[in-house]
Amino acid sequence: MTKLFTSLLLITLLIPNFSFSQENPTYEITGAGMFFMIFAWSAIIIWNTVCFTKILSKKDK
Amino acid sequence: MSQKRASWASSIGVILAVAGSAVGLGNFLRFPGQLAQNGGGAFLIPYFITLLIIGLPISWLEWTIGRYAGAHGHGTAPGAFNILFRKPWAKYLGSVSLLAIMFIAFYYVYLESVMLGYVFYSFTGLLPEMAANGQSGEFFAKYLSFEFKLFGVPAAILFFLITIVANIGIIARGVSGGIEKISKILMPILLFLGVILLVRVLTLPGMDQGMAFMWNPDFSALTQPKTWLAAAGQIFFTLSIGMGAIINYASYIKRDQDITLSALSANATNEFAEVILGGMIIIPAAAAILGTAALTDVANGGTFGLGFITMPAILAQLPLAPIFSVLWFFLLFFAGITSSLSMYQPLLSFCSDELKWSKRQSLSMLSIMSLVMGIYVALDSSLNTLDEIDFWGGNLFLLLFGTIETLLFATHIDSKKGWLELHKGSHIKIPTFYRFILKYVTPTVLIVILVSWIITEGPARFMMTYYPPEVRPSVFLTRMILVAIAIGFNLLIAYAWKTHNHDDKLNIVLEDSIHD
Repeated sequence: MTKLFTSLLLITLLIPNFSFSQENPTYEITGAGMFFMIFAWSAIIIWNTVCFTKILSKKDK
Repeated sequence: MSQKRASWASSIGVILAVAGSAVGLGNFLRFPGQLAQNGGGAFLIPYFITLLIIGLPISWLEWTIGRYAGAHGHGTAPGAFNILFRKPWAKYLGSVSLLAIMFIAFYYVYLESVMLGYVFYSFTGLLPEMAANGQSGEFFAKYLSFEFKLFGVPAAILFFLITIVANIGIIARGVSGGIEKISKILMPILLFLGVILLVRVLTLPGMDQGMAFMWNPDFSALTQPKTWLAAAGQIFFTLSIGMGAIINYASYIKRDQDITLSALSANATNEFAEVILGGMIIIPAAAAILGTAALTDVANGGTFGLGFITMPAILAQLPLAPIFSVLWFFLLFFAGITSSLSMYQPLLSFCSDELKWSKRQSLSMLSIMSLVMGIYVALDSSLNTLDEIDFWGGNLFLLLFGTIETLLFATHIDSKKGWLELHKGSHIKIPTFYRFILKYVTPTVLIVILVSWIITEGPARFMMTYYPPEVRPSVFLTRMILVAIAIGFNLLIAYAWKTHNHDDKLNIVLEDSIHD
């Protein structure tokens, strides 16, 4: 059931089956690794900025 | 309404209090290990999906339930469920949230006190000194087995008492005078300490290998159900959902005040602490100081291994080790105390709202319960008792309550009225498709996760084969104590309803009902 659910989600998302250098013994960061890191950081910083700007602007009114 | 309920003094205050409840040890100790073990950067795909379809909808649901229940004089799930779902059995289902929170509090406050002990021994220099000699594991074992003494008393017990007094002292000052004030002070300090440590780690040579170890994606992990379960578990653990803490905090919000944007903001703060601070401190620091060969062991070390053994060893290698050690454990202690307050407050609220006990009676009861159960946990230095309580309170009951509340909301609440209730006084409009997600997707996904989790984790735990044979009798005793507490607590609910006629309120609020 869970496998079916997971597979359905994967198909829905059309995640490409890339392979990256996780097994690389020197652990050099890949473009995809950098992408995920920067994406996560940016998304969360923007999310915080938008929310708190809005909260503070409502507080002023 | 019989009496005026306390309320938060400001919207920032309630956001920081809820964020403080959510930002805890899980952000700094659990998240990095989960990320590294479950596909690195690829873990963020299920993580953000479960955040969107489980985390945010349940947050909004709990804020809505809480504010609605608070307007009718209830601050915890039994009272809230009774008034919302209007069925005699609903209040007993609500007990799952308070049992979860109570069980977690049994061990969480003790762990919090260990952080305080670590702050003290970092300050005296003993911890950095032993850690520098490779003895951080020995330090942890000696601390837990009461070998360190202060004024003739085991240090672990002394710091535990101080932690209980601090928690009870803060909640005794009330919602706005205690929790809100302390959250406004501690949360900015916590984030500031986190940023200092982050900058220190990012300037260590070799930390980039740790970043690569953590963030390089392994997409094959996405085909494994355990990755999705881990992501859902992390979301549950990190956002403080499924334990009734948000329901309780939201019950002190006025009916015309915003909850949509407040919920989003509290979750945003939590994600900042988790992904940006938690995700970037321990493992990059381990790579820089212990070397890449240690990374797999570090990532698999689990919460306690990372927090109490690995991190002191890492910090001991830095210049000015005692200072960074004090900062790190203060950060964890502050994260812990803002979370444990959100465990005590719902229990206090249950005593005052439903049992009509006086504040003094309620606080005394909470103190005694914390002391007795905390010492019971502390006496088992192998941490098996803690592990068993965490299984029921910190895992199963959280998932179970999340499933129960979303299912009941989907089946017993008029979704249009519920949606309007969520948007009362709202600063933002939530996209309408979330109505569909909340009614159909979230409960369905939660059922799948709960069943899968029980199938994968349950048998070994239920049958106790997870534990070595020699500790099974003590684990069984712990389980029987938890069962007795659960039965006793439900009897208290029955007593409260019979004695104080809470069902009378159902007639008063009928016109205000959002029941389907």
